[in-house]
Amino acid sequence: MAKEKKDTGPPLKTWKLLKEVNNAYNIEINQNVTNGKPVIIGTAMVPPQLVNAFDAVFVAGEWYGSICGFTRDVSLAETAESCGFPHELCSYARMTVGSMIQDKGFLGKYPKPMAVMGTEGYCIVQAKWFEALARYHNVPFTVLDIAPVHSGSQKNWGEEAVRDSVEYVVAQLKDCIEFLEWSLDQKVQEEKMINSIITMHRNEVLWDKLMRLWRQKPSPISIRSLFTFENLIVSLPTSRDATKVLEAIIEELEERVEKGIAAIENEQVRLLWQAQPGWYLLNVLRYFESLGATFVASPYLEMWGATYRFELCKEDTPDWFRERRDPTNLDECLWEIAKEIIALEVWPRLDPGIAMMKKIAIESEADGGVWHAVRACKGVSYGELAEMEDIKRDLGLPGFILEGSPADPRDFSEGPSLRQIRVFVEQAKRVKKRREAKRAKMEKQTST
Amino acid sequence: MFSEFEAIVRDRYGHAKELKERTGKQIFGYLCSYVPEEIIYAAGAIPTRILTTEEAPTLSETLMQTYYCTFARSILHQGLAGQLDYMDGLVTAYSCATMRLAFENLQRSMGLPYTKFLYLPGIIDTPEAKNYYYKELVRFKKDLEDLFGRTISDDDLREAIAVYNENRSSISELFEGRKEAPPKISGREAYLLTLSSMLTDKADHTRLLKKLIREVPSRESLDVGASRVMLVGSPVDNVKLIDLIEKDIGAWVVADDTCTCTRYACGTTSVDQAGKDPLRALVERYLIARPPCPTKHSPTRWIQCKTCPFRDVACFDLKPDPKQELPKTLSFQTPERICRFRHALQLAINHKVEGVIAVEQKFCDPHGFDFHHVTQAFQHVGIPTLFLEIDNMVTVGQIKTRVQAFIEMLHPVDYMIDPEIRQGISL
Ligand code: SF4
Ligand code: SF4
Repeated sequence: MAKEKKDTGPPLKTWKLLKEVNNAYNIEINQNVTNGKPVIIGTAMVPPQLVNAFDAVFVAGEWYGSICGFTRDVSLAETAESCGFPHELCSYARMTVGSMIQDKGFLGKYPKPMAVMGTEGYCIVQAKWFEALARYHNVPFTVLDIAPVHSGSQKNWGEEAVRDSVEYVVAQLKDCIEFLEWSLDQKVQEEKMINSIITMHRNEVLWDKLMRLWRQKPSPISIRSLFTFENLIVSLPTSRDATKVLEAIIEELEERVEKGIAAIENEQVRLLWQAQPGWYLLNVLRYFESLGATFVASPYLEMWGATYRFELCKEDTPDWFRERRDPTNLDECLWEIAKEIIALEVWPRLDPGIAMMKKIAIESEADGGVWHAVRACKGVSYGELAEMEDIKRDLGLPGFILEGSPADPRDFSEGPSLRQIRVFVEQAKRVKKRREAKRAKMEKQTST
Repeated sequence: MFSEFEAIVRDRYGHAKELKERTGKQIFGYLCSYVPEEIIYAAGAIPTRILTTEEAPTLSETLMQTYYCTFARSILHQGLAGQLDYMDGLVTAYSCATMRLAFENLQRSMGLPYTKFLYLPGIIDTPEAKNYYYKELVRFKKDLEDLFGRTISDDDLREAIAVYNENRSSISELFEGRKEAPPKISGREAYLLTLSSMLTDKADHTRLLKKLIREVPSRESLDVGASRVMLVGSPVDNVKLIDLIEKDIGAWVVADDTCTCTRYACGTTSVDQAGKDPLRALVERYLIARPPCPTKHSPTRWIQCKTCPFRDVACFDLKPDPKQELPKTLSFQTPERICRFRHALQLAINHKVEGVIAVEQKFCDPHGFDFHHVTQAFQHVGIPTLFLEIDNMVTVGQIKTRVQAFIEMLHPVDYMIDPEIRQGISL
């Protein structure tokens, strides 16, 4: 690995608090692995507001897979492969399946679930992977099918079609409640669900705020740190502890922005990052930084907030779809959850994905973008090539495809990638200079 | 006897153009076997499926990463290469993100006057899923009415349903001959029949089938004694793979669970239901009556397993605890269709299959995740399996040795299931 460089800004004060909350979550899961609350495993697309209305611990498979990737325990993926799960499948899934078969993982034991939940409509893996876990454990499994609201320029699409989608999801959420009540032998707790939704709404707003601060000039926080903060909004979005951490980091970053403190010195080019990182190789991101390239925005990270997902379906949806209200009863809760989860489906769709990318590129004054071609991932890396092409053509920004995998280090070739990164960053700098020169010339012409 | 069918498959573009010229009808391409073709047919257009060719899908590489299956990339390649320019419209139903990406890229690049992405529910046997799909079909019909400037009446739909039903039952009638030993028709022929039916006007195709139904009983029988193989998995639309098994190695492909053959042709639309509401009848055909593909889920699976004859023999991962009570309150309690594993197992037993080749288009997630379970299910009734990764080019040289070694070790299987259970298994 190329020589690493430390963040040049002072260490984040909020880091300690973040660690405490993340650790408490790990410990909670860990304790419940052997005895305690039942564990539900599901995709990160399963609405946490729903599962948190029960006395259970929810483990998002993507989070679990990402930490397996972070610990670089390739033996887990190898176990899955030797049992007939091809290497070409998502590495998060292979890691989790391997951890299940070996009954070991970074938490010590694998968190055996009492019920498993998948989703459909986004990426097929989010159903098939969890079906495989459920079959293995012989525990109840259900799928939440997320119908669309993006019309994709289809005819005869309107308010009624949107209502059909929402009602379809609401009806399934009711089935999911029945399913969880049966498999956990518990009753749903309305009050808990209401509070979860209210807290999640708040946390999403805070996450949006954090994303806006990230793109300030100079950028006050590194993308690597944000990938650690991400767990708050993926695994703990309904938690008040997450609220506390988010509030603290926002306050800290506001202060940094005011004082002009940069997280990374030498911000020569500002880049977008798309898709999950390779969790085993966050240092590749440092390598960009050491070359003078700072990541300042990421559509992938932005999606956990509320702004973009609702903004991007503006043309296809009536106002009521985009209105977010704090619910007061179970029916209102299900309606809110349905809208929220449906709107999250910006990917896999080309038009909204590209629109979002362009919008963020302009707003964050980016000089280029890096698309992580996450081998085998058909959800987050959906349409990356078309996105890159359109950004290049319409905004004149250079783009770069970095090939890798979120959790399997065997799918990343370091040497060639570092060389390509070097070449790309140099190109981005040149393009930036040309654009600046052109802009200056135009300004001069206008003034004369 | 099968040359007319083969000619359609071989020269599919030429055939589509000729069809268009001869009938004056529009040609609508479609990408997935779940597209309710009957509605397109009722509107007065001819639906034809886009299948892969053996060309390397190079043009797709600018729009789809190479970790998407070549089944979808080949389709995109053909669109970008102008090979599909005879099409007047493009329709797909949601199956997986890969096919959606191929569709969206074709939609953006081909400039077709009409394209439609039908959201086919991922869950298929709940009242709400059926309702949702029904509404999608109502919108789809409305689109086509606007496009063609005419109403599609219930009778138009019923007529189209009758044409499709006749075609599917004729294929099924011929497929009955696959159960015999030796089979009456080979795997190659079975695939050619189904593939060609996707590529031409269904009424014309049925006429050819009827002729074949008359001729087949008097044909010379195929080789006796060869091993009996079944294909399970991703779409297979290149008969080269079957030629390898049948001609080069000398086994018969007597059954399959793939969407380019049996899964496409199985399951007719209920005429009774169509008498009341043809769109509802189509929802039932596509969601319930046809065998499901692995992209479709069932929240009733748990309950299906409880009553499944294979529960204790095949699905050892899945044996629900006998002490565990079935949920009493679940509103989605009635399992209406059998699961795909049970369907495949039944097919295998009814066709006296001796070995299963689980085919996966490289990078196909739906089938890739199922392979472990498919293997378990078959092996537990005593049927060996081979996992085979393919792409659109089917490079025979690379797979021949493995397939040959697998077939050489096959022999008739005494299925390890109790006679009582066996009685409950008939298609
Ligand atoms: S074959 Fe299907 S229904 Fe039968 S036990 Fe297995 S999964 Fe369940
Ligand atoms: S072969 Fe598999 S991955 Fe490819 S389009 Fe079909 S279901 Fe999707």
